[in-house]
Amino acid sequence: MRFLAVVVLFILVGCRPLENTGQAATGTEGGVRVSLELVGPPAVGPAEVRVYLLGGDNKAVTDATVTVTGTMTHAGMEPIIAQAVPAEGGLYRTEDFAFDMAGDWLLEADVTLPDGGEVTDEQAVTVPGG
Amino acid sequence: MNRLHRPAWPRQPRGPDLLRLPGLRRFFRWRYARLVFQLPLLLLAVFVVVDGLTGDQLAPRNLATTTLWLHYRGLVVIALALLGNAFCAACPLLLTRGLSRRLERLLPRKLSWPKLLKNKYLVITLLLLFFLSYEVFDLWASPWLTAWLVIGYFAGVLVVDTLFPAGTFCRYVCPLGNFNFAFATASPTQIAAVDPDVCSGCRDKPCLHGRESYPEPSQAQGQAAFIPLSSIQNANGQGFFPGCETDLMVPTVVSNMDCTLCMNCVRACPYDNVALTVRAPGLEWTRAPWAKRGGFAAMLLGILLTFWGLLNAVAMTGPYYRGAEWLATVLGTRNEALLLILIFAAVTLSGLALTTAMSLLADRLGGVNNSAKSTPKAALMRWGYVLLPLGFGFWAAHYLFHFLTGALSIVPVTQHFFEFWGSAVDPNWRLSRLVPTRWLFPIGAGFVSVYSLLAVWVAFRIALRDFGKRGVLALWPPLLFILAFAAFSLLVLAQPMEMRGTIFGPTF
Ligand code: SF4
Ligand code: SF4
Repeated sequence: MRFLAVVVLFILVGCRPLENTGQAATGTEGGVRVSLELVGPPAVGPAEVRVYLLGGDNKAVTDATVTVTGTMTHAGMEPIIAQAVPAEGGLYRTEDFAFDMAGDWLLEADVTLPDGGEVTDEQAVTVPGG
Repeated sequence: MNRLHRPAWPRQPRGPDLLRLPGLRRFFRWRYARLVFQLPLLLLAVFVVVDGLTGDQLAPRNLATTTLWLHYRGLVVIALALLGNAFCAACPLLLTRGLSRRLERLLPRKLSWPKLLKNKYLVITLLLLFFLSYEVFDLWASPWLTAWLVIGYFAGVLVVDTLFPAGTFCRYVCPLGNFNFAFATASPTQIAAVDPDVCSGCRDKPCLHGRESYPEPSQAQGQAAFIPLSSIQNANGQGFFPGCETDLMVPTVVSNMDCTLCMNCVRACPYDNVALTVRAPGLEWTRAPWAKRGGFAAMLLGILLTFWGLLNAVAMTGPYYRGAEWLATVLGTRNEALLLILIFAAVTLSGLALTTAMSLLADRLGGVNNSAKSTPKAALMRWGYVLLPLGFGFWAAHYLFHFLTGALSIVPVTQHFFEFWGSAVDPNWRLSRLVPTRWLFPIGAGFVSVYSLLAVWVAFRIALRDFGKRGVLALWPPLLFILAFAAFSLLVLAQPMEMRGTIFGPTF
């Protein structure tokens, strides 16, 4: 019982809300840098999201798997998930990504590198209404 | 049975008794029946607190925000519309009782709840604070704050229940419970006496005061009136059976206001004379039930909830954000809390003013010219019931929108919870909608339309009841009000939703 009380106290006192980082710094893993960019002003409808991957040696990473996820801040909203396809020089872009509602979105790029390593980047976006 | 006197009990609905369904009466007479519903919700509350405090802080990926702001609210309105106040019946907060009983032993005696607070004004204030905090702190977007809200709620119940008599929290403090009470008036069921004549001869009124039953009087502990086991019809065990904690006596129940559907009365009645009666949804609105109990404060609660319901939904649409931007520019401030207070004040005051004007005009047209009778309070106590179906219809449409949009997300969110704690599960985030998006507006509009028609029926019954033939004239202001409210509701539902965290920028 006392142990339980200590655990509960630990959870209550020790926890702080984990901040979502918003305009996040570029993610890195083993020297690989990833950065995510929304092309053009945010608006309801199709949007292009670009993800840049640069290795530690400043060379483009070309054969990674890049998934872009858009999630709203309200519970129950289905996220928009799209694969970003490689274009030239470490650039990956989405072809079928669309904001289906105005409001606050968190854009995330989840990258699986050729060696199995993972890097992520995220960015907060407010999509204005019509 | 000793028939003492025959009080004139108020008219209660006489529909079918749901407790006659096979096994139900026996189940609800069982001492631990409520626990069966409370324990799963307690378990859920534990998950909510743990995930809210320690889990992924993105609202759509957290159990706290998903279960509370999506499932709880959606299921509450479904239960209220189809059955009754099921969520108060299953409320896990009252499981703090064991602890509060221990704590109260440390006190010299229980305090009595101040007379000044024996009404719904504190509840109205707390609800206003809750709705304001909901917007200012974006509670719906914060698992962490949502978890603290749950913890605060448990702590609040514990404190109030320890210091004051049981039932005080439910009746005079709980904002969620009182939301349910106000809109359980729309429900198609109600607690009633099976046979009021039996109640006339019932001396101790155990449904209200509780009873103790043992084979021998010497076993009684003195907690309530002793009724020997041999006198109990369909005996349901021995011991102490508490009565109604919110002070309702079964044969006098004319409203679902204050009824938590705890079924204490069903268990305590020695004559097994309590029914869960089916009635026309909202029947009580036509019978002025709060004239005797609840009074003006209860009416104010219903009216304000109706307008706050509109604001709660409007605050997720583009025109609201543009209006707020305009207000911010005019006032030269970017202080969101200040702007929200002003917006809430404007909606509250204009809602009250409109309802009062409608009610006074209807009274005048109905022939109430005597200034002593034609007070705003008297007029609101007559016509205010018309707003309850409107309010419930709109809250239901709004909450169902969210529920139907994301009900299935409980699956990936639960998967994510276990993934977060190291289990090898891959959440299927594609699970979300319960119905296609194109159905959402028709469903919401359907709710608004049905409850607007119910409001018309209520207005019609009130007009005929109080004004006879002149009721045809008195009916016009409420009818125009209902039409305007319904049109505005549909307009709001038709707006593309804009889920912004704050007026001026993202939540993150
Ligand atoms: S419901 Fe039962 S306990 Fe209550 S007054 Fe009637 S007979 Fe008595
Ligand atoms: S005991 Fe009171 S609150 Fe509980 S079901 Fe009966 S009337 Fe309702």
